[in-house]
Amino acid sequence: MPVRLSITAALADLPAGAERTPGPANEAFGAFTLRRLDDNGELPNSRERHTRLSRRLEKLIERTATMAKLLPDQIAGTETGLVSGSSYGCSSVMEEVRRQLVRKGSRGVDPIRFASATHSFPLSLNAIRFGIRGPCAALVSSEAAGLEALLCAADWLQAGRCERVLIAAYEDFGDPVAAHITAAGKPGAVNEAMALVLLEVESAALARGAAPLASIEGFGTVGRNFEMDNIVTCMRRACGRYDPEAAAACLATPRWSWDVRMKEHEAVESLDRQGLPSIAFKPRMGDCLGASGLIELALLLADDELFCAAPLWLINALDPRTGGIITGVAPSAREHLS
Amino acid sequence: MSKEVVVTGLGIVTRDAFGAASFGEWLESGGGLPSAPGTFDVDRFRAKGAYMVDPQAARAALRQMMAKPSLDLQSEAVSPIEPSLDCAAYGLLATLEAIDAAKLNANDRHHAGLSLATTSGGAMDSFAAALLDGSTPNEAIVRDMRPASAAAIISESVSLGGPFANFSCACISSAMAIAYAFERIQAGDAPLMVAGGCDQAREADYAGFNALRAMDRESCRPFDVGRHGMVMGDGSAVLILEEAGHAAARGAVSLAKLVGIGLATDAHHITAPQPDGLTRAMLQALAQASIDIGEIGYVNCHGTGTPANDEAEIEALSAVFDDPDERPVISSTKGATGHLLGTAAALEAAATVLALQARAVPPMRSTRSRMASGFPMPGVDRPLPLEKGMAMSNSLGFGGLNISLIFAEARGEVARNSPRHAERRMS
Repeated sequence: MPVRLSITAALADLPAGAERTPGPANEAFGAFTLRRLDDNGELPNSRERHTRLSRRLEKLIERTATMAKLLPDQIAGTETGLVSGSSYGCSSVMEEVRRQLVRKGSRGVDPIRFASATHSFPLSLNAIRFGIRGPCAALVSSEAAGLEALLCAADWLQAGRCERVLIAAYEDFGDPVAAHITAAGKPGAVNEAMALVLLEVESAALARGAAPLASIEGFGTVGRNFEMDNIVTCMRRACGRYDPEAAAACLATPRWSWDVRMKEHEAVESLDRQGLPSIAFKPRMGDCLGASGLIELALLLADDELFCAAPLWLINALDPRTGGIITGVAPSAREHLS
Repeated sequence: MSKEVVVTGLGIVTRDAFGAASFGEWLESGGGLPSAPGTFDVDRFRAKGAYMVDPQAARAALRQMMAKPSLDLQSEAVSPIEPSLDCAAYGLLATLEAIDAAKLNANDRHHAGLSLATTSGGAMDSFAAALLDGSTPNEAIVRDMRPASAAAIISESVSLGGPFANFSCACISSAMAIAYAFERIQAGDAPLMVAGGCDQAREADYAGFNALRAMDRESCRPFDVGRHGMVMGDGSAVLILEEAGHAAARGAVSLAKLVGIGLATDAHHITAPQPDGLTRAMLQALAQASIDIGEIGYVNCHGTGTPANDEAEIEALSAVFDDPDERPVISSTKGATGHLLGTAAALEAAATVLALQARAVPPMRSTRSRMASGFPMPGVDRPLPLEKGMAMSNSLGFGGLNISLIFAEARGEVARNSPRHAERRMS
C-alpha cells in the first residue's frame, strides 16, 4: 500500500523581473534576457567553505524549516534526506578550478575549491551544517530535473528510507553557463532560481503537528518520443486516486519547444476537464531550466486561492530532448475521489 | 508487492578491457599498473599514472559495434558524437554491449528508460576553452555542453523511450543511478532500465585529486599497510535492469538479482569519511533484501587505497559483520581498474555480478602487505572462492555520501517455455 506523502513547505527564490503570477498557457513571451538572483550581499567570503549555491541553499533551508515549523533536532538525523535537481548543476565552480589550472598550473588548484566543485557539494555541506544523515543525491539532468528530484524523494519515502526529504531545484549562471545559455539562443527570459520543497510521510508530518499544504497523488514519466498515448497515460497515473477530469494543469514545459507543447496541449485537452484551467508561469516569469516544475509547484502552492480552485493539479515538466515528469498535487483538505 | 529486478546485460569499457568477458578476465589476472594518460601531460603533477581508456580504440570499437546487425540500430537515430565528448562514446559503447548481451530488440528499447551517472558528461571544457581563447564553439559543442549530454546522446542513439535521469553526486553517482532505475521498475514506469555511468578523466579532476594529496604516485593498493592513495581511471559500465517477469517472458538470461539498496549520509566532513554512514547504508540494504548478514559471501568495497577511506570502511564493515568467525570475503577492484569517479560504482556493481557468476573473488595484485582487517581477502595472484550466493557492493562519495547494493546470484535463469527462448534455441 503506497504511503501518503504531503508537502509541508515550499519556497521559490526568483530574480527581480520574474513575475510570480501565471497566465494562460499559450501566452506569448518576450525577447531573450538573462536574470540573476540577488544574494543581498550575502555571498560567502574567500575563507568560507560555502559556494554561492551552498549558501543560497542554506538560507532557503532555514526559511523552509521555519515555514514548516521544523525544529533543528527534527531536521537533523537519519529521518531527513536531501536531493537536488538542476540541468547545469555546479558547472561554474568546476570551471573555476579548470581556469586555475590553465592560468597558474598545478599549484594554482585549490584543493578546497576542487572539493566544492562536485554537483552534490551544496547538499553535502548543508547536510553537515544541519546534521542531515538520511539519503542524499544530486541529479544534474534535464529541464525536468526539479520534478525528477521530487520523484526521487518520493521513492525514498515510499521505500521507508526516511520520513522527510528536502528537495532543491536550482540553476546558477556563473561562467560559462551564462555564455552557454546566451549561445543557445532561445527566446524569452531565463532565470537563475532556487526552489525548496519539504516532502514528508503524511503521518509523520501530522504527528509532529505540521499542516500539510498539499498531497502528492502520483507521477508519470514521459518518454522522449512524446507519444500521445504515453503522455495521457502519464497524466492519468499522476492523478492517482483522483478523476483526471478533475485536474487543472500547470505547464512547466519550455515555452520555445513548440512541438512538445502542442502534444502536451492536445493531451491535456483530451482529458475533458470540465473547464478547469491550464496555466503556465513561464510566459510572465521566464524559464528556470532544470529548476522547472519545482519552481512552478512552489509558486502554485503560494497562491492559496488559485491552488484550491481545482481538486487536483497536474504539473508537467517536459524536456524536448529527453522526456519528463508529470506529477499530480492536490489541496489536502479536498476530496474528489474516482 | 515489490517486483523482482534482475540484471540481464552488462557493458564495460575500461583501459584494459572492452567488454564484460574481457573485464572479468582482466580482474582474474589481477590487473596491471597505471600508465601515463594519453590526453594530458602529467609532468606537472606528483602522481604520474592513470587507467585511462584510449579514445581512438574506443571509437573504433564503437564503430564496429554500431554495425552489428543484431543491434538493429536506426542509423538516423544515432547522434554524432563530437570529438571532445569521448565520455559519451564510452557510454554508448558500453550501452550497446549491454543491450546486445541482453538481446533487446527495438521494441524492448522503446519501452526502456535510462538512468545514468557522470562526473563530467558534457563538452563543458571545450565550450569554456573556446570562450577563453575567443574562438566560436561549434554547434555540436553548444548542443552537448551540459552534464547530461552524454546521457541524452545515448538515449537518442539507441532509441530509448522510457524514463530519463542523470546523476552526478561524487563517487556514489552510478550506484545512485542504479538505485533510481530499480525504483522506476518497481513503480511500473518501465519494465527495463539501462543504468550505469560513463566518464572521461579530465585534467582538472586529476589536478584536484593531486592537490588534495589523495593520489598514490605508483599504484592503488587498497587495504595495504603502505597505501598512499587512489589512482584515477575512466571508462563506462552499464547494467540492464529488468523486471523479472518481463525478462522471463522474453526468454532473457538473468545474470543476477538486485535485492537490496541502502543510502545514508555521514554529515561529518567534505572529504574525510566517517564509518557510521556506510554502516547504516549496509544495514538498510540488508533490511530491504530481508536477509541475514551471514548470507553475504562477498563485499566489493569502495577501497580507494587512501589511508582514511580504507580504515573507515573496515570499521564500518566490522560494525555490520560483527562476528569475526562469520565474515564475508572483501576486496577492492580499484587496484586493477583505478577509480572511475562517478562511474566507479557501476563498474564495481558489474564486477560484483561477475564475481557471483564465477563464484570467485578476483585477486588483488597490488595489495602486497594487507592491513589487519579481520576479513578474508584474496591474495595477490589467485582468486578466492565465493562460497555464498549473495554479494554486496559499497560506494562512498565526497561529502559523506554512502550507498550499498546487494546482488543475489541468478544462475542464468531463463524461462524455458517462452516463445523467445524457443526462437533462440532454433537459431
